[in-house]
Amino acid sequence: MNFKKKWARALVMAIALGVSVSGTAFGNPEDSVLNVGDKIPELKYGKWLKGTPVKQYENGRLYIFEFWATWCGPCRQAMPHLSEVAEKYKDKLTVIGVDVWETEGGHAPTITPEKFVKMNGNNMRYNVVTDTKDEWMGNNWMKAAGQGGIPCSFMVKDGIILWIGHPINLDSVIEVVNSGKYDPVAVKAEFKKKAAEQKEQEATFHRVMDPIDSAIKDKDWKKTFDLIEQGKKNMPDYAQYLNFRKFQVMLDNFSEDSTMNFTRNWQSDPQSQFTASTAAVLFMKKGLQKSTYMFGIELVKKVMARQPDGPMPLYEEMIAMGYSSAGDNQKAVDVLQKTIDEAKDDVKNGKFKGIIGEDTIAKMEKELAEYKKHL
Amino acid sequence: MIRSIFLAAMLLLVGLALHAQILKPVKWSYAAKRTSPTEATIFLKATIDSGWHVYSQHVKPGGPIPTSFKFDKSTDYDLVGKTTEPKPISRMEKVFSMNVSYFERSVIFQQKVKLKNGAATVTGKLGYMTCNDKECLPPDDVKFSIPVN
Repeated sequence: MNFKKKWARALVMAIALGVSVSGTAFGNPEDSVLNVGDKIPELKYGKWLKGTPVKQYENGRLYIFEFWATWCGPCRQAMPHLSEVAEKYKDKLTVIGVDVWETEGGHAPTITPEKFVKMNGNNMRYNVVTDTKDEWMGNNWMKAAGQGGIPCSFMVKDGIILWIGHPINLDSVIEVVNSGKYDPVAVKAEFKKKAAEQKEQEATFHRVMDPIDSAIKDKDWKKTFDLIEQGKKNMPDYAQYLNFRKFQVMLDNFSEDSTMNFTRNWQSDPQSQFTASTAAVLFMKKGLQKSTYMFGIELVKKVMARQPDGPMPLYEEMIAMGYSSAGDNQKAVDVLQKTIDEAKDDVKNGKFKGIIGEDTIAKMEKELAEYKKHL
Repeated sequence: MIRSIFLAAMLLLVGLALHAQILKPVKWSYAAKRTSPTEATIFLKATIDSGWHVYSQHVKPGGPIPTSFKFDKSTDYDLVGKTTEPKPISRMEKVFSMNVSYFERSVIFQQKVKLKNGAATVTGKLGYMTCNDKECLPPDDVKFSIPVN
């Protein structure tokens, strides 16, 4: 398999995984009637609020239907980037924002989409429509596809759904689709296979985890640890997660020394996972020994070494938190200050788009102020 | 490219870790406590999965949909005052250009009632929506029926 082919396959997998994970969260795409590879339902709208009504789909052109609502913060957050996408690929692609579920649950809308578009037109440099009164788009597109969460993008070409997912992933999908390497049939097959596997995994997960959860609830530690060991043997795929659960249970209920003995031993295995999560849990717990926090920092550094292309500022932010928990706020301030500068550069250069943004920097600055207070 | 795989791997990890809980990020439970022969307090508790938010009753118009409670009228009880809530987390949200108040992990809303006939079943419905940093689930209605013995 040459590199390019591998590349495309890996992306198909990544996309299928991404779709199936977000799908499982809110619906059941396996049983849903609308899937990747299917013909799109009819476009019906209440009002075409912005742009030019699309009367006919052009052959070969990409159409992105972006489902959103005025009350949805993450949808608003996605708008500037969606505008950039609409402009960057304006020769090949049309973006249509579809406002849905404004009065879902019987609540009175606090701002109408008309007013919203008027106020935020600069952030929405693409077509915008509202759903019909009987929620045609919400029902026959979103719900039919098993999608319950917004923002959610449908990518369509020649009347066929190529991809359904979070707009965060739009750029990478557009690139592959434009390169001609994208095969919706393969994605659909992969997607179905993954969905079935995931359903099976979910059942297995419950079989293993439910008895453990109830043993934890009863504070029956012997039973908890016996079940965890049993689970690790029977379901090796979950061994890492089970170790992480054990670590959490120990940290909350056992001495710090015995907890850390277990944790150091577990994390010294090169195959160990949940490394960053373990560090985060340690940093959030106050009053531990300094050496424990320093161990947490070592864990984060290990993750950074494993992920040379990962979003470093996010890891460095964790390290700063570790220093602060260890009582070394000066070091926390030094690290975080440097990190904020890096993150700003990343935002400016469009690196880690959707992962590191203005809100990430605002959060870091707030943390920095907090550390400075304790100098 | 590497970024998207990284992201998918992250999603998968999160998906796996939260698997058991993520199907429904907010669960509601109810209780009632009698405070005197003629008075009781109703507790409406939201248990919220890690990373998700439920909003305060007092979000200004133009923001996320506030949590709301609508109690049915009854000959068995009268409401005393408004539904109360603990102090929420308040955050300036640039996308809404306003301070947005919300709860994470769990929150207990309370409503005092006056019992007219000794015992009662307090019924009604609540409305709420929930978001994490990545997405929102649409506002939902939940009916409740809480016996006060």
